[in-house]
Amino acid sequence: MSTSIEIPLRDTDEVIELCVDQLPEGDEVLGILSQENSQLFIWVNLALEYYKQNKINDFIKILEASRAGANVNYRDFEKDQMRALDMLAAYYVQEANREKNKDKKRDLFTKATLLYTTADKIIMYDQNHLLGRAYFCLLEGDKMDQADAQFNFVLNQSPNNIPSLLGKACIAYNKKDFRGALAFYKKALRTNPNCPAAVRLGMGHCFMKLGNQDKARLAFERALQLDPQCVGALVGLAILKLNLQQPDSIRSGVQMLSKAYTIDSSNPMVLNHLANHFFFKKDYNKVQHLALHAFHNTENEAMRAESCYQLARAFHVQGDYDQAFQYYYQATQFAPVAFVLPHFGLGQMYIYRGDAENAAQCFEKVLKAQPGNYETMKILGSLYANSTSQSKRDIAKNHLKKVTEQFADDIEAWIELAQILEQSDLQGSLNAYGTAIKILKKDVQAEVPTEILNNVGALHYRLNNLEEAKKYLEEALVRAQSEAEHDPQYYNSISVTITYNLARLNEALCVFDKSEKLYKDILKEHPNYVDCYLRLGCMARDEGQIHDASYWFKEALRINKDHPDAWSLLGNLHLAQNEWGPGQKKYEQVLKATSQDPYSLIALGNVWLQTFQQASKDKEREKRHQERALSMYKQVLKIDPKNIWAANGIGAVLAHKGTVNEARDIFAQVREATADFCDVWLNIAHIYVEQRQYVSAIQMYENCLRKFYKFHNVEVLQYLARAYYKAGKLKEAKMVLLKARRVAPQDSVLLYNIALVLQRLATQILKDEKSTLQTVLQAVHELGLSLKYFTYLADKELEDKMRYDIKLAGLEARQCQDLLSQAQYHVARAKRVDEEERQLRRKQEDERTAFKLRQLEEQKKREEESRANKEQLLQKRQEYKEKTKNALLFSEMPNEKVRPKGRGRKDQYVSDSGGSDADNEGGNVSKERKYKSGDRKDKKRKSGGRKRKDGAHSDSGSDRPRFKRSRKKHHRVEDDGLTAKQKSRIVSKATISTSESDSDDNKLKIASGDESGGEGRKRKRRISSGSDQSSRSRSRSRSKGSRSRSRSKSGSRSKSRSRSRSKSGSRSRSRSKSKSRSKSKSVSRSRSASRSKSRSRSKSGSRSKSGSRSKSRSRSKSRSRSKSMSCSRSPSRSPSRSVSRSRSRSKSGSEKGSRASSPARSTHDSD
Amino acid sequence: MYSLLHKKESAHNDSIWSCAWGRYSKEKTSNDQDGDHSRDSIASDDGGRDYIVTGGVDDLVKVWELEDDILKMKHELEGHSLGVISVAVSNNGKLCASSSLDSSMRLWDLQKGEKITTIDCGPVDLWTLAFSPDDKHIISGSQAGIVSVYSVETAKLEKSLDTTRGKFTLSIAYSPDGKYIASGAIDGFINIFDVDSNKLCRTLNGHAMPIRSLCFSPDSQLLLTASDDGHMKLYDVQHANVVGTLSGHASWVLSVSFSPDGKYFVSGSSDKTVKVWEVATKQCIHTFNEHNDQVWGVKFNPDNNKILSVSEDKSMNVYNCPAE
Repeated sequence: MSTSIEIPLRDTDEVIELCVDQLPEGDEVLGILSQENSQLFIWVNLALEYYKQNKINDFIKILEASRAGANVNYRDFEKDQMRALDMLAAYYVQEANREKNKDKKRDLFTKATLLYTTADKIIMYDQNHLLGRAYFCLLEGDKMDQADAQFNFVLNQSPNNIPSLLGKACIAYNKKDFRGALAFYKKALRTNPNCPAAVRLGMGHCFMKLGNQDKARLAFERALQLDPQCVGALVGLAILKLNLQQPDSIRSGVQMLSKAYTIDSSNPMVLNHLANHFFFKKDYNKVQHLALHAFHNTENEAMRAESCYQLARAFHVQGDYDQAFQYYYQATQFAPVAFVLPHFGLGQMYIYRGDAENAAQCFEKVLKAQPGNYETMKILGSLYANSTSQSKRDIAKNHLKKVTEQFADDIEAWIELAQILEQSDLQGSLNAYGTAIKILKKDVQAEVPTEILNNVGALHYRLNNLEEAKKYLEEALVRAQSEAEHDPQYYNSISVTITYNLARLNEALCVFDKSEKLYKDILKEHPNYVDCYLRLGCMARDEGQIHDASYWFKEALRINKDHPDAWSLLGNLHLAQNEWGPGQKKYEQVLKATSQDPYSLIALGNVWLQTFQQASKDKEREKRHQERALSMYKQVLKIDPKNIWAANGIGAVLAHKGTVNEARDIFAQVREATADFCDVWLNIAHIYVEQRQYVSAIQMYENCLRKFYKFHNVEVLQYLARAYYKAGKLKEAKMVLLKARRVAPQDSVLLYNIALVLQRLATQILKDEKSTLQTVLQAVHELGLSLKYFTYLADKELEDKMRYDIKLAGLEARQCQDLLSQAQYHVARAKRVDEEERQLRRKQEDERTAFKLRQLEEQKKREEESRANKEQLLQKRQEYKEKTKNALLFSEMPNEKVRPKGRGRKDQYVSDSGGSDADNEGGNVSKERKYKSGDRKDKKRKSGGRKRKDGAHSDSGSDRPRFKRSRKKHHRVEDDGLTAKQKSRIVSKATISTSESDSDDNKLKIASGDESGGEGRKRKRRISSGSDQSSRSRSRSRSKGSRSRSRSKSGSRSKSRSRSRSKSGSRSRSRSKSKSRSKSKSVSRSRSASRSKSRSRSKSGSRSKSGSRSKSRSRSKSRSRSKSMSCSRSPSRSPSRSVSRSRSRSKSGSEKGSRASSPARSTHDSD
Repeated sequence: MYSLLHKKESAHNDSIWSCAWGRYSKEKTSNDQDGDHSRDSIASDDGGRDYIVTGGVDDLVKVWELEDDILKMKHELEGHSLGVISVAVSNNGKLCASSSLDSSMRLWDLQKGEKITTIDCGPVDLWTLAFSPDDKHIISGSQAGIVSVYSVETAKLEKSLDTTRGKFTLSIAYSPDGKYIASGAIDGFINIFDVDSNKLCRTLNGHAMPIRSLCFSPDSQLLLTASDDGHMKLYDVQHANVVGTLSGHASWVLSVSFSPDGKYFVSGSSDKTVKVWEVATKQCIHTFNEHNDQVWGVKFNPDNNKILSVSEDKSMNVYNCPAE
């Protein structure tokens, strides 16, 4: 062999023979070469030798020097030039490929490019050159097509060119054409059966990709035989073994990995897999070390993603979430589409950070890559469950439903599902809880958590199954108290929530004394529980104890001076007493804090509406107030296009302006949206009256009374009477007014109206000549009463004389007098008629008696005759008997027929001589007036729901790490608001004057939460019965569990608070959830998350209507849950994952329903 | 067992606004207000005769008797107009007084079913009625918190008890021992007058909403009030303090009545229910849900074992009520 290279000496024939085994220092050789002006090929050969002996520096030096110093004066020198250039370029490419440093890498690539370009100029199509270039392109990345073209070119020239085949295989592999790659490898192998191990390795990878594990293993093993140092084969085999999941196979896999590591300690693949291994060994330091090393040893993005993921996971488990976040993030940046684990991890980190939106995105990605992944769906479900957007929550619902379908005994999913259904489908939610409880009891044999009992109780409450609710809540309370021994802080806080819920329930059951006691008990221990103050205030308000109510609301404000519910409730109190100014200020106070609060806006609109209804003297002012009211309502609609209270208000303003048809359309729409809005019914009825459709109006009023009021509502009764009156049905009008007077004897307007109706009725009867004496007398009597009333009303210095026109009363009194004086005539006439009639009757009677007499006589006669006959007969018979002694006798009997009685009786009618119904309308003018109270005013409404929460309790440490994040959102529903902090939901009801509030809250395990309160209020005059109502003075309202439905749309204003508006009035709901999950170690990796979330929602609606009336109801619920789950899944995308999770969650909800008319508002502060 | 014994549908043509249950006996004792005489013997004697009186918005006062647990109408008394607000039976069971919205009061002979006299008052000077324990007087609420005392004999206003600045008096009661008159006003104030001195002796302001009914316990120690706020309160008459607040009605409480033995009382409400309460525990022990509309009046019978209720739904119910 040429174990030596000869360097011819210049100008001689001598040569210097360099023995390959003992190459001198490069510089020395270089000196010789340049001195002897050696031909290029010698330079190249020498360089090659140096390269083979790993003397890279010398290799480079010689080649570099050759370009300038070599002798090219010989034939075919170009080929050697090419070789030199290509060789050097190839070297640079190789170096570049190894180089991790990007800058250096680029330098090397540049050098290589330069060289290749130079080479290009010499011989463009040299095969080796082309191959070199192709590999260069391949390695440089993203020039695969170019490389492919060059390989093809080469293959065209020599179809069996192995480097080309391998190159093609490589390209095919990278293009995921594994079959193609395999074919190229095979071809190469056929051409040269002694191919290096790498070819086998490539084939192994292809088999792996094609899913043919056996052949892959064979290939790897063969590669290993060929080259025991082949790291790739070792790794491939190791992975195959690890994936078998058998302990011993894992062990041998790990051994292979270690061997690979000893061979090449910088192979990222080996490092990553080892890291993965150590992760499960819980040797996180090693994981970090290895993964970091791997990361720095590769440019390959997928590899780096893997390394980052390993790192992140290690940090995640160790609780270093910041680092974990960073690495997860990096991993996602590097990761190919199919590698979704980093997204999963990143999603978890986002959850930890409270960034639900990004978290959801991450999980969406995971789900996209693995549709139907149960865990991901569950997480997404719970993320979206807290979303403010309805569509997201629907997605959540679907996810959770799917999960429960697939895993019918996943309690956690059932509970999540139940929670999300709470917003939309109470019964469904209850069923879901039922299933969860069943599973808990049966399969897990665990006690049903207190929180679930509480939630179920709250649901029953909302469904109005009050007794059921009571059962669950009481059970929950008992459980909470017994559990308190283990974790006093947490369970005591739960107890508070449950107690609050119980109090709300008792309110719904009308056991107010008990509720009051419960609220006060809570306040003794938790003086910051604002909702209790609000509920106490609402109860006081409903009892008409305005001062007490005001005291409680102010107490609430002392705790939280910006509490919008408290402010609105105070405002409502003012409005209930017609104190517009102070009321207005209260709402403005609310708006200062939350300028978008629809409840306050509507309340203000109502104030303007109310004031312009009252001050009707000043046209200008009236107009101004109208505009103001209108702008308020419009503002609300801008915030919440579906706010029915605002719509109703606008309808009222329109009606005032005389555009009745438009107003009617609006009212009709509002009523379509909800049937539970009393004011709109009344408004529609008012419009009917306006349009003279009295029958419909009457129906409407009556329905309204029946639906909304348990008791006689004087205001509505007055409206009804007015409609009857206008429809000419005076008797009915009278009856309605009497019923009203039965409950409000002090009402002088009622008295006036009664007097008026009596007078008109009497007039009508007197004019009607058909009237019988009795009715006439009655009419006269009532006329007298009417006179008495009018006189009373006209003369007396009554307190409320402002409510009607005294002068008119005087006029009416005189009219009565006139009528009375004429009455004698009518009475006389009636008497006459009556007399005639009576005579007639007497005559008939006489005739009849005469007839009867006659009949009697006849009968008597007949009887007599028959008796005579009989006697005769008897006699004859006697005689006969006597005679017969010897002979037969015939007897004859006379017969008489009875006559049917003949005549009928006649009836008599008095014929009427045309009576005139001249003007019974005469007094109409005045009467319109009097119905002032009944006049329509408009309605306004307000509603408010709001809720808030604050939690201020410290939490007790829990043993497992958890983080909480809280987020809340609000919703408002028509009426209630709630917030909950952690768990708990409560219901509250409100009463009295149209508002009610509720609040709830909960507390969490850790922190105790407080609650929120919402309230509503309503305004005066009309009360609604039904569920809640209020009246200013005499009515109380109560709400019964109202459910709030809310749909909220709207963004959140900050992540921690968001509000949504609900379709109807306002509703707010807030929820906060904190969830933390940490992974725990376990054989496999596990992650545990604990999250607690509380959410509350409240809805409140209110409305007020004409006159003034407003009602609102609100309810809120809050729930919180905490769950911790740990699940582990196995590493590498290997198939197995085991999940172990433990979770406990508690949620509690509270709902309260009351809040009244104040528009909704929500605020919260959260911890 | 508490149960519905008899339901008389359409007892009146329209809402029934008030009812009373009285007992006529030759020994002239017992009615539903005085307690302790030998009622049992009376009940079993032939001497006792129970009258149930109802008044409604149809202007009629009807007198009923309960025969074999069936209500039979004895008399239909005409003459009122604008609806009968209140009926009361004298303690001796002979007389019935009724008042109507036309501000007239009529006295009737229960046995004969005849009117004895009519008393006309000012338009707002008459409301609910009550007999004095000795049956010599009839008291009525009136506007401005005034209580009018009419003489049965002369049918004249005998005296007025004034509360100065009171509001309309909706409800009224005479204590069985004859010492006090209590009145409940539309603003929730309760006034207790001392009969002997004709003076207002106590004012209780436990409620803030109209007091539609109140009554004394048979021993005159307790005063029970019913208000639109849905609550009832028991006051100690001597000390004028609240002994208990009872809640459970979902709407206005329209009527309350003690049992003659003083152990129970019954309440009727706009929420359509009739509830029976135990005085000792202050708990509701039974709820009747038999009416379709507001229950305007409730009464115990003299034997403690039956309860009468009348309603806006035109029906009147008699319930069994276990008297232990």
